[in-house]
Amino acid sequence: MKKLLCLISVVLISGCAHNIKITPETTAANTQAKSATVVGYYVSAADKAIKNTTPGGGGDKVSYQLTKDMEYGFFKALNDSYETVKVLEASHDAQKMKADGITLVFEPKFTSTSSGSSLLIWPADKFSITVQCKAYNQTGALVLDKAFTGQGTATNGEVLKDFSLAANRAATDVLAQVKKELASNASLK
Amino acid sequence: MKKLISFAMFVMLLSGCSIMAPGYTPSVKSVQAIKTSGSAPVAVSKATVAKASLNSVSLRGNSLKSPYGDYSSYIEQALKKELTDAGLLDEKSVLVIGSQLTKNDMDVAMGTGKGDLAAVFTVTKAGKKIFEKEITAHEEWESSFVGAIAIPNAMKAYPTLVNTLVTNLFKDKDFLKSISK
Repeated sequence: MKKLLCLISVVLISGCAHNIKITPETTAANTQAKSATVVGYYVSAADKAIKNTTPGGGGDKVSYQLTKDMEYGFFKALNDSYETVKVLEASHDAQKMKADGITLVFEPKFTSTSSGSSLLIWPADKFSITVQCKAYNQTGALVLDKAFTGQGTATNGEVLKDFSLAANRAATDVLAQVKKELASNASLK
Repeated sequence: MKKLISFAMFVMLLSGCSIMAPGYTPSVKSVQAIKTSGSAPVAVSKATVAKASLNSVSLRGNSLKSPYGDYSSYIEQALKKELTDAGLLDEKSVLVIGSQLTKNDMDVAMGTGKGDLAAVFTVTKAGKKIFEKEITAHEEWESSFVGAIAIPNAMKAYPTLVNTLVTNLFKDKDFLKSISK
């Protein structure tokens, strides 16, 4: 009976994708001075609905909504860098930009890879998250088109307690890079 | 065979052990709503629980631990994060938001998982109570017979449940009136 139950479970679980939620660390106190420039950002509803599935350990997969999970961290990076951040409902919305006095609009695209070194457990212990960050000015000219990639790893012991830890670390890493760019790139002031 | 070993090991490793709930992430929507709520800068006092058992959450026998030590602190940290990101947290403010967790249920059923949270929120102004109300939140999510799917799904749902509670608080007209400028 035990063997039968186990077999049923294995059939049900084989090749399945385990849901995780990526939570970048966003609690660090903001010490940088904010720019008075009014900025906006646009992330499409279609991108937020995408379910990403990438390899985990033991031949299984991990599943998550990368853009949805990363959106807040990206917003926070902007919110820490600019006094006013507005959410746009459409890409290249020149009318809205003009009406709201938005000087720059950011349009990030997120991609990821993962892997799990363990044969025995499913959580991924290595993660990579890339943000292809584009920014346009009011005339629609591209003022930034740059990719940032964050890496995150965790031990098997760590991922057994926190299934998303490697992903969280990669997310925190890439958002720190974005924030650094916002602080140092003169064309984004 | 690899799958069989993987599954057996995972069950063994997870059985009766403790796992960490994801940390709280505000939503853009909730932070923007707080920013434009007309709220004065506020402080957040240490949260409490109505009874000690509310500080433990079990997902099919696995203890779901709060990344902030306990679940009253989870609510407290959620409020602080939302207010910090909205630029409205001021620990020296005369307006202080308090909370007492009164419900903290996670039901990892086979088909649909369900979560219910409730907390009594208070606002005091220079020590005088000017608002007190219980706010609730309910979330449902896709669950499964298989624990290795159902448990991560429930874990993932917890921050969303807390975000719903905070959003419902900042939708409450009496609460907004009590913290208005």
